Amino acid sequence: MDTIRKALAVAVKEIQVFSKDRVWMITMLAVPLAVGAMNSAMQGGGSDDIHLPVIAVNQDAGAYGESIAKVMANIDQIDLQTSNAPAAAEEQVRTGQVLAAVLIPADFTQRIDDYQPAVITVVLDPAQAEFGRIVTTIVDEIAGALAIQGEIRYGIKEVLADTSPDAMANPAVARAAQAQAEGVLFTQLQRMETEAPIAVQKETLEGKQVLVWDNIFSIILPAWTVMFAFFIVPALSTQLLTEKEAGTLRRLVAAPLPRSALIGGKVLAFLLVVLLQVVVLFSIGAIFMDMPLGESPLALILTTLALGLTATTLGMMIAALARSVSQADSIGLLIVFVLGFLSGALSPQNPPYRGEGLMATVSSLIPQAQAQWAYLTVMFQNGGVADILPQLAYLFGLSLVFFLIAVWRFRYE
Amino acid sequence: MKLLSVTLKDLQVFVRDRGAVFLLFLLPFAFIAVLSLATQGVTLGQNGADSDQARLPLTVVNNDAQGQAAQEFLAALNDTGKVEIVLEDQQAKVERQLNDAVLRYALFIPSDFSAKLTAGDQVSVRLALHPFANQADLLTVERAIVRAAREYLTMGYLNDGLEQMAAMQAANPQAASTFSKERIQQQIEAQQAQAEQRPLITVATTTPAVKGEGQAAAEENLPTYGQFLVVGMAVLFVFLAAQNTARSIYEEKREGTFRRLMAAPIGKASLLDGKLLLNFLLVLVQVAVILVTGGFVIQLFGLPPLNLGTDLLGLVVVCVATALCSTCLGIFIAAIARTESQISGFSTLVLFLAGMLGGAFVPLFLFPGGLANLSRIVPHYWAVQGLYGLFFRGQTLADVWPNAVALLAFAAAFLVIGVRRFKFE
Repeated sequence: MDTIRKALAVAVKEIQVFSKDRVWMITMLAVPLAVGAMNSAMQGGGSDDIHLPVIAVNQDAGAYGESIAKVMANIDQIDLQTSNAPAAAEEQVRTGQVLAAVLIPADFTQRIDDYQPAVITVVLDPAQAEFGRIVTTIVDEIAGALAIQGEIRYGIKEVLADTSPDAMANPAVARAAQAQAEGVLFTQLQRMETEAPIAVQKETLEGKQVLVWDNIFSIILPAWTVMFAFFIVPALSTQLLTEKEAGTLRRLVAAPLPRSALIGGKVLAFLLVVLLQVVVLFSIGAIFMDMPLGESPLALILTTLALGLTATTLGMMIAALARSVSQADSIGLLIVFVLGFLSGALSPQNPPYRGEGLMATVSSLIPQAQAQWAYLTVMFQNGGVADILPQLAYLFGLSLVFFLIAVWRFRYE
Repeated sequence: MKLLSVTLKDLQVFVRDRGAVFLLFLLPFAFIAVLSLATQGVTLGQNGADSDQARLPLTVVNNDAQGQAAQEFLAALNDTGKVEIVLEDQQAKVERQLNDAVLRYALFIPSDFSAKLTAGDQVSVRLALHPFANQADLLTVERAIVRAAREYLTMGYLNDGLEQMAAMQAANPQAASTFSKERIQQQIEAQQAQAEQRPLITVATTTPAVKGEGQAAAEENLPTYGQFLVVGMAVLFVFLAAQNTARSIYEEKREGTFRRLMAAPIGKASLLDGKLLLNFLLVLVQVAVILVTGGFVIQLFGLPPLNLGTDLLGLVVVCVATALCSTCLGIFIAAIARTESQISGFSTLVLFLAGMLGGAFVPLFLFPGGLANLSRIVPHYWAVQGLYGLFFRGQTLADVWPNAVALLAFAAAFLVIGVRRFKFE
């Protein structure tokens, strides 16, 4: 009992020290909000928010070239510019000003009318090739529709060519046949657009057990809260090592304080900072961003406690294993950033730990991923303690391992 | 000379901290290896499974497995080259995986698919989406399905068009016989044979850097998302190294060694410059380790290497300018930070935000509104864009010199403000 009282006294003293460093406290609370807001703004909410800068160079005076440019201009996800100079357009791609240039050659329509293969060239910015693939797919789809037109037109022309010359000698008959061919083409295109034999029916899952959210910020904030909670790792480990290097730990050991109370008090102070961080961020999220908090406060509290304990005991372990402040800081940063990214903090709406394969396995072993998983289950799927038992067991288990290693290896002098 | 002595002495101190030296090499290697491994063959916003770089994995439940039309439709879907079809037998299992977000989307083909198409009826394929589905991936998958449907139906549309034409020509006795069933069938078969040999319209993909080498070379040379991320992260880490500079200066101030050293016959400038020179060299070493690891060492582990471009001089200039900017940023941080936690915590987060704004994580065109224009106010932007240009866009020093100049301008500004605000005691 006495040890706990002394540990609490150390914790209170530490918190008084923290509170004097207002910049650090603001950092721990305000920056996750700022980063989360920026990330939300960058990621947007859906495909309508994707705007791909593309330049089209249509050198074809015929109908097919014009058709491609017109269809592309009407696609919401493409911000289309036009140019007459292929070299200038390629230069824009080369310098990263646009994502892709779509080059339609001068003889495009002529070649299709002659039933000769025609090529549309898509010049991609290699630095953004992943997004360039979307442009290629869109152009490919447009090309598919045009190819159907070309095939029908050519088929009618070929069969009509079998008609005796006498039959087509009358200009009125020839004009009528031409008009009929255009009518057929129009009918088939209309059919293709409005009543295609194969329709694609898109359905987004709905229901209580499906992870859903009202706005992107509400799902990004828990992930960033978890990632920023681990900033306590470099902070705690560097502070312990700084005290060790400065000799203040050695002096404190001489005081009438059990070592466990001394170290426990310090860790408790950092744990309280993490808990405060979560409470403040989640309150802001719930009040201002419609972020749901789920139906089980107990599950939410246990997840937060597990997160805090994992981060603080990890900080202790780093302090025990690192030989200098700079080492502890570097390892801490590695944990925050590399593990944070691998846990899916950059795209929490698309978490890698819930997939399959190597990436999913690696990701799911990371404590940040397990904490995010638990929060998402509680907050967005209305899960209870029973639903997150594996995540809680993993995090509390890791905390115990980190704590035991820290106690075993930590030297006060 | 005194400057070099200070640098040498600091280097000796640094080398004694073997752990720090180890981390200098391990940290860049670890993050490149981990990021490359994690993103190897995985596209933006994975669908839960690894895929080859060019295709997105698409789980398909074909409930009409015996139907010829369903098989032909799936073959057309595969021929688009956009998706990698993963066939699953159990619809319930796939629906469960969708519910749990293990899969983000899946395609369901109904059992009457072939029968309905043969009867001339409309049929729907169902693309079920989880809300986690990446919108960019969805755009590709959905359009590939539409493309495949059209490809599969091309000859059907031709048949219908010719039959419609035959009906119109029925009133013309001289032409009516031309559009006989046999002639229409003969024409369709001829065009089908042609279409199988060579499509009427193809879309060729190329890049400015490898133009002239053909489509295959262009597609082979396209960087993976992992490589894109490695460059951004490398720049982020180089600027995070500014904290080491700031911390080493702060520690000297805290321990009073600066004050004591000022009693020695060494000028303040030599003292500070000596420290900066060492940190500048260490950042350069870190950059070199990142480049060698990304460009060469990583291949030993079977991972795709980073293309380091063709202009060595351009690369050296951009890297030196970036390292100098980072070092000068270090003295700026040391001058304005009041506590050690401000150096480790606050500056980390500010540098992280700056990296994000500079385009180290996501392409600038994804930024909303005018946010992309703000990117230019952070040095990260100039470093990231310079390296993208050299590595991926085939650019040379002639193209990226403005980036180097911008980085040097930032370095000068940080140095001037940092030195003016710096207090040795």
